[in-house]
Amino acid sequence: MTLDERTLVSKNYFASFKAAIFEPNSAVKMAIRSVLTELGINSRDVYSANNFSELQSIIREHAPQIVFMSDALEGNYFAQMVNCHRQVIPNRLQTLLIGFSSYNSMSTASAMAEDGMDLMMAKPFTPVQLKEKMVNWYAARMEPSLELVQLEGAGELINKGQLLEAAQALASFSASSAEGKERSCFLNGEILRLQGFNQEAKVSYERILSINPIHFFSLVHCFDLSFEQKDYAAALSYARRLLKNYPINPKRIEAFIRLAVVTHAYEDLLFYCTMVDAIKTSGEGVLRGLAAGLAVGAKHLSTLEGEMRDLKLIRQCLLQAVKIGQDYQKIMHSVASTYLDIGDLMQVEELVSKMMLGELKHDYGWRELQMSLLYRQGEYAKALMVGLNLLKDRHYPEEVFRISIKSAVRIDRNPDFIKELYQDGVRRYPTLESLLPLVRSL
Amino acid sequence: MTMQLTDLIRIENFASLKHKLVVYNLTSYTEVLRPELFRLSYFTPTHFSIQAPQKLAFLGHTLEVYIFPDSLECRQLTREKLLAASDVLCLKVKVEALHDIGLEGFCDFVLKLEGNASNDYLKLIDLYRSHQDNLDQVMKKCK
Repeated sequence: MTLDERTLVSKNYFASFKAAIFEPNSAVKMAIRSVLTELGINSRDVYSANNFSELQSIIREHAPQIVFMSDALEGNYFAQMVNCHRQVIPNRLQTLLIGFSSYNSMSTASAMAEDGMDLMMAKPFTPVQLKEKMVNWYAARMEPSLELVQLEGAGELINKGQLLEAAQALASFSASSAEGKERSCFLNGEILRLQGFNQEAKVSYERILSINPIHFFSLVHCFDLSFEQKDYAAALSYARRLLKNYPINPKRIEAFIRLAVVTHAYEDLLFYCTMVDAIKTSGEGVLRGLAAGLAVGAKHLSTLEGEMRDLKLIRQCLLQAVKIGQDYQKIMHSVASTYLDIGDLMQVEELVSKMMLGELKHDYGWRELQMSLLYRQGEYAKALMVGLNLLKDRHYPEEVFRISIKSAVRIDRNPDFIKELYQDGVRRYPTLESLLPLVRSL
Repeated sequence: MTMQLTDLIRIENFASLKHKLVVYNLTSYTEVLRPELFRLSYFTPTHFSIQAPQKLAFLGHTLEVYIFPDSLECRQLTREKLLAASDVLCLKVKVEALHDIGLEGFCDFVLKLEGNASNDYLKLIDLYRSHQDNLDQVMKKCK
């Protein structure tokens, strides 16, 4: 059958369907609408959202079976939309979620699949191809097999939160195909995971992996569960299997970098540094993850001692983290703090000056860092002033007391003032007693 | 030596298929030669759509659109250089529709090809179609 013939056949099927579109590009939106009309969906049943919040409202109010969503927003919006849609339409037999992206890499496709999207359309696209994909998607669903109906039924119970009923439904399910068996095993694993029985869920996923060693979501969940449980050797093994068989999901880069650090694969950090140029066209989220990972890696390396403390590697990681993560203040704070740890005061000063130009000049974290920097630079009076202002603003971390007391001693402040500061600090933090000899010597 | 994760990360996983474009307006004799201002949205054998600066053209204007690989050096681009380059696709189009996209200074243009689509244009469409097929395989494998 040609595409046109298949389209004609499916028109009755789509007649009662609704669709929602979140796509800022008007021409793309019109092309999608045109495809939907060709498929037989009434234009009155096609809803357009101007923002994510509107899309969620449309989903809740109209329950569209088909949703088109652009990656115009940075963040975890695909996963959020999928969750929202599953709550509104828990049976997924007739649903289709299509993500549109200008980043048409394999990694983007992998990320979309993991977020729960069914299909991905990369821009620029051809409307005919979109139509073809949709017709193909629904080919098996127009007259679904009994197995598919039963499995989607169990999935529906899971999406509704009726986990015990879902488990009962799966217990009486008898698979007629290998895919069916795999799917029912996976759903059992999902039930256990959602109930919080993580170890049992892992066993279930491993059972699937014994049938299909590269079952994507089983590998993903096993990786996540192992990582959460700090079983890094296992996490590493699952990560290897994922990377061997699938494109890397850019959102996992941060986790992989942390894994490199905790498994002492420090030379991997250099590789991640070299990845920067290769992945900078993959979207902001990717770079943020990479910057965060490099900052964490550098921080950890700075805590090592002796030969393990590779200053050259630390500085490379920090440099790259600054290069790509300069818009993310938490990442920059971590970078600046690590520069301070390794004594690169000029870098700290540069970052502090740059970041504290705007609103961050009131940020407690940055002010603390500024105080520490001033102290390290020998600017004790200034350090004390910053410290006292933080205390005046009711910000009482131990380090603020410590540096304020030490600065006050250095500049020969009134002994009574120092003693009062010390008493105040040690009341909150008994460990400040280590400064007692200094205070006594006044 | 135990294989590290990074031995398994393929940089090409992040590679996007991308083409740049610039436009010369044959009706108003204006040119917009900064590729970063343009985005391709979709293709059909008779039309394609781009997101571009609003000032580029009005309805009915005739444009020359130059589409070229992302790797082509873009500094000091001129119309003459583009016409002379071997891997640049030059398309004559008419502006058939304009849509506001809520992005200040930009809108969507729907452009109709003048005459029949050239082989090179159809090859470009096919290139994106087969890239899309590869992405479909990834999505399918991940299910």
